[in-house]
Amino acid sequence: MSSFRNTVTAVLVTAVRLPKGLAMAALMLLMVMTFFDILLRSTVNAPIEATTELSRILLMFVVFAAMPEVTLRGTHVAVDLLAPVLDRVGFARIEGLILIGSAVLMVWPDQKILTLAMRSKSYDDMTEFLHIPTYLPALCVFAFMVMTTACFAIAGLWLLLTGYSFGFERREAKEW
Amino acid sequence: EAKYTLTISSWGPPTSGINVSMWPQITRLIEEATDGRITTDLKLNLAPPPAQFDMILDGAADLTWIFHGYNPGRFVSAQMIELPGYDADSATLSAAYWQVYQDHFAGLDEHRGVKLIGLMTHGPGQLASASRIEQLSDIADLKIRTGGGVAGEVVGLLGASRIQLPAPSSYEAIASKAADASMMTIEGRKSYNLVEVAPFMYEMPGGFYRGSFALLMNQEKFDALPADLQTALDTVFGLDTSRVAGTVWDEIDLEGRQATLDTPGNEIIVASPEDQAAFAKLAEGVKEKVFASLRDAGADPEAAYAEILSLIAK
Amino acid sequence: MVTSLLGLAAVLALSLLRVPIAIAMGVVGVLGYAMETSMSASISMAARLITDASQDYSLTVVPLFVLMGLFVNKGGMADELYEAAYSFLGHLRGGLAMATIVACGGFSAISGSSLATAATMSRVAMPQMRRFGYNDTLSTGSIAAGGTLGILIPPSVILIIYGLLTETSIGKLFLAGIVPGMLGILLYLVAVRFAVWRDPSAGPAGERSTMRQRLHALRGVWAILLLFFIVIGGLYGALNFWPIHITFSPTEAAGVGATGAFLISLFRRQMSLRDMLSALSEAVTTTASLFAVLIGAWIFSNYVNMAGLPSQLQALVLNWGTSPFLVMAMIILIYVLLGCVFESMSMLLLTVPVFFPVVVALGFDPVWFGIVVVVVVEISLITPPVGLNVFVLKRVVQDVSIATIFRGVTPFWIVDLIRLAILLGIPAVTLFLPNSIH
Ligand code: NA
Ligand code: NA
Repeated sequence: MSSFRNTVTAVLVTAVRLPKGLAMAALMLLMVMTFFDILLRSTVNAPIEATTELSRILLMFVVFAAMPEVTLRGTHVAVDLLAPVLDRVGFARIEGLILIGSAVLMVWPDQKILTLAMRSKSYDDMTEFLHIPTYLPALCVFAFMVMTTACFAIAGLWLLLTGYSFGFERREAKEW
Repeated sequence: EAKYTLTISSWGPPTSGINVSMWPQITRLIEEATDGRITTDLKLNLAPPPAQFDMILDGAADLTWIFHGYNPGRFVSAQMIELPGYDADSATLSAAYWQVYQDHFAGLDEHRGVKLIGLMTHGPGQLASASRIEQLSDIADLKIRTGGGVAGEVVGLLGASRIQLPAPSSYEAIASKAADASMMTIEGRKSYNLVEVAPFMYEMPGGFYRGSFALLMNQEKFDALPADLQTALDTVFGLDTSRVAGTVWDEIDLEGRQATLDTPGNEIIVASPEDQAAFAKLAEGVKEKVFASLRDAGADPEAAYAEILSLIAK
Repeated sequence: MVTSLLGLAAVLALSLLRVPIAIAMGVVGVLGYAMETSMSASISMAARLITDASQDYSLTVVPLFVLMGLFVNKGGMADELYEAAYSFLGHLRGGLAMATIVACGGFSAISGSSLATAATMSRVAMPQMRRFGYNDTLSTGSIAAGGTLGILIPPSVILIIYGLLTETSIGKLFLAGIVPGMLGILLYLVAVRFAVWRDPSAGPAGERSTMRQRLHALRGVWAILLLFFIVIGGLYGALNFWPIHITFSPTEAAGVGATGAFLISLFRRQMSLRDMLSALSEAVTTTASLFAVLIGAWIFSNYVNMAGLPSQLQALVLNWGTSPFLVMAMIILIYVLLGCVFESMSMLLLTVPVFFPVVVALGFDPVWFGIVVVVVVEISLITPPVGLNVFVLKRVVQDVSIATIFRGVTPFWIVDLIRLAILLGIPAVTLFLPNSIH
């Protein structure tokens, strides 16, 4: 049973690490690009014209690609004031239900994000310089949000069934 | 008798002419036309400017204004009014815009899903710069903030580097020397405080470009109103609304010009006749490009352009 | 007004049940907005705000400054800073605690976060103070309090978020934080003197350093000075090496700062590939959780806006004819009370949408209010029962009880209130610098 649980944990952890890797690469690129933009502008008076639109696309990855991991690990910003009390009265399982509820509630915005992306496609929206269709980054947001929603459900289910936060052997306070 | 309140989702600084003058004037039009049965409620910054269209389409608010350039690729016909060189104030040109749009561009259905209640253009866009521009060729050495669209095209053809940022970022971009200049309305010199960081205004008569805007209403909200109110609204929507909106740009452009004249160290340099001629030639190239994309979209740009010229000539 | 205050109460209640703040604000915001419009309109609004969260180029400042702070931590620059401060102050009674305060202040100049400052300095300063027989109350108190300076002295992630939420110039906010930050260092030094005056055994004097040792130690802080000079110098136009003049906006400063910290850490061979990956990993997870809350706050503030709460509060204030200063005093009181319970970022995001429009309508300066809010947030970091800096410290020094640390921060907490009173009473302390440079 325990080895089954370990396998599931390992698979899920890997599944959220992959998009997080994308986020890390995007952040590094964002840093390097900003630096070279300023360097080129200051030395040879030639800024990279597409910086702002590339920045926005990279920022999208930085913001959303790590969201599934944050959700699965339960490291969203939360108030821990009543944590000791809540744990004593066995609130953990109710908290699991709250997380599952969050996942359910996120289904509607997720659907709408897809609708908006496809609407943007129908309008031929694109970026100014590189003419990248804007529905492509919007579809990425959709994909990451769906993963995040799934992670809310999994984290909630885990808490509900085991009484522990995902990946932990005992109840640990969330921190940020 | 039921009363109705239309929620306006607006953006821009709370003190901007749009929020202080344009919406109140349009509200007055609406109230007068409906004997006070419809009024409005102004909300600021419910969503970023490029999101406003969707806000109205989905009923998150009832009225808004949009800048066509914030959604590149979507509003091809808007480029027509963005062309440099129209010799008219914004009120006249905005009214002409509405007329021409009905005659030539309505069929493109670019504002599909929402009710188009007005179109407007801002005053001639000019160059606000940190250093003094003596002549047109000086512009090639600059890094210029632009909002894209025809303005971006013009800046590119002038040989300058483009930095694409929204208008409110002009101050910071110039103050931090990320940009040397900004392609702006004259009004923006005051409302974005550019008189502080960009004391010089290089003025091309007729402007380097114009900006294109639309005023929108949620279609379901309109359809749900009683028939008599719909009719009343339709008497003021369109031509009247467009003209009133344009008038506001004329007023605030004057304020921007006055602020420039009143601020020590600020200077307006008007392009020489030779530079005007040189720019007119360059503008011809921009026009050809815009015409081509309009033809691709299925419109008749020559006829539309001729109609604008005849409408503003009156 | 009643409904939106109920909404606020609902968010607070959900948060106390450990519902992620982002979800609490998002759900209440969507439901509230739906009451004003319709459910489909409200969902659309929320979806649009999510999609657009990465569309504002100026938001790149958040992950980049977070990354800079993490690279700085890996680079080991805090150790040299502490050594330098110690060489000058160590021989005084309470000198190590004073060195800790000064080093925290210096470290704040390159770190955007108070928690990072406290965590880093506890690793560096705690062993030294133990070695010289400082009692745990004074040593942990000085670290926890000194760490709070991280969000006031620029760069500061909290000031950035405030600037983004309220459309206030980040450049001006950074400048405005400098003098109140210095004032904070000064008053904290006074607090240390007070603590050792009351109990001389709390902080015995250390060894006196020779002039040569001092000069040597000073040389060690080049990396921090260089980084500070590049970031702040570039922001305010001081990097003028004719013919090359390098200047940048706050957004770009974050990119330059992160690159600088990265290169310096590489150059000093302090950062392995593993360190770099862990910094990047922490930066993206921090960014993701920050943006989740930011999106939640946008949705919630749209509801508050739609329900007309800010204008109703303003009307209420105007109708009562209360003086603006009384209103400000009330707001500050609310902040201090909320600060007992709430974590810094959540407190800022929850309250600014409600209070900011009122404050501006009453004629207060948005930059000044930003600094006041950040000082109150600083205080909240060391106010029981939830003081995050205290918790961070507790994790590093596990054998000290939370109660001891809270006792240790008491003198610092008191001088914080004095500083708050000064900033409230004399706005020029905050506004002089940003208003003299633009
Ligand atoms: Na700092
Ligand atoms: Na607290």
